[in-house]
Amino acid sequence: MKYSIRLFVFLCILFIQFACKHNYSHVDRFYTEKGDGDMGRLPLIKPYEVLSTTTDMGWCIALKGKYSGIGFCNVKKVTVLDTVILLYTGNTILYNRNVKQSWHVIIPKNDFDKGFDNHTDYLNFLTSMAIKPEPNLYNIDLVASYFDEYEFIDWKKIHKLDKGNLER
Amino acid sequence: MGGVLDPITDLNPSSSTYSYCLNNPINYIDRFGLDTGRVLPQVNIIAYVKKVLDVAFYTQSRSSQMPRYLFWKPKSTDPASSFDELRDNAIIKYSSKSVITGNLLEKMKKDPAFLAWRNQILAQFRANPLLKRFIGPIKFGGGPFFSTQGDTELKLAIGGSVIIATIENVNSSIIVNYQVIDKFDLDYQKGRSNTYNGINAILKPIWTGVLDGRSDMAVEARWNETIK
Repeated sequence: MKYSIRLFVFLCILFIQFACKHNYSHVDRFYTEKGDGDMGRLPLIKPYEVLSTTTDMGWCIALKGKYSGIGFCNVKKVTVLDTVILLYTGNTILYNRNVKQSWHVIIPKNDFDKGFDNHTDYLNFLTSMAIKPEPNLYNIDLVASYFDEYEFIDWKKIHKLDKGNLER
Repeated sequence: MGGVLDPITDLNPSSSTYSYCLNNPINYIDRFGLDTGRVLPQVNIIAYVKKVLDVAFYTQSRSSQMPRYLFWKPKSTDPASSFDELRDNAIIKYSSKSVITGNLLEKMKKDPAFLAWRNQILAQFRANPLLKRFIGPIKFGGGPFFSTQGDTELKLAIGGSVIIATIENVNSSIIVNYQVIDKFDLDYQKGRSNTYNGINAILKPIWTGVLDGRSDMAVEARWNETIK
């Protein structure tokens, strides 16, 4: 009797384990893979990803295509709107200059990147792209926690969750 | 498969045709008497743990130091030309910072990821000479972290780090100054693989508690090159 109870409990645990496991086998591995070694990773839009380091520079992004070699560190906030990546950084290097903060608009499919150290310029640029009102950017550590938990960043769900739960 | 010559022996000319699994049956398997494959493909977790702890226990036993609070050392910066020296700095010297030199620095300069990034920033600079400062994440050592591919020592010493370069024109030459910064840590970090975080959750208490090692030592490398 004890044996069958134990077996039942074991099977229940197994069932819960598999039932709760997220299945993203149909998703490109780019969007599900964690970092390699001591480098944390958050996938944005392929091939763009944010990589974490344990230095004061925090999360960094390397641009691709015609901007290869250029990157930004100290990424504090991020969001993805369909085909557009929006980033906010603390103190970093922006096109040759040390800036206290910067905003970036990256459109991977057009191999486009533009950075601003002035919030108004950033907002004007978003308006020119018909992105209005200003989208919420999410604290990157909270996005990383989400990725750790769900092993896939579902930006639509994050946008829905954003009712004061995620920092702006 | 005794007595039968491996028909694809030409693929691995450096190993004897009479040896099984490169004389390493723990790590390798040869199910069909053909090619040797890893028991755990790509995974070299045991080697990682061993590399971190092996000499650490050795250095701790030979250090015979008194408890650190009796002989508190001020913040120090010490050189390291190998992973073992980095580890010694973290455990014996309790350095707040290690500067990579010698053989390890030479390895960094020849690392494929670094050379690729170097070519990219030089191309950017040549296209737009106003761009003189570059920053980005870089992964030294190549290959997956828990694998035998790439340079294990580089991966352990300064694997995931930040690289900063400043470029200047002096006469007809280009001088590039590089700085790589990292931290010698065993911390849990978001976005890292569960395997890496899990192993370090076990290693860290041993490292800091038993071996009295430092887990927040900054690691830095600086060098420059002149391009005519």
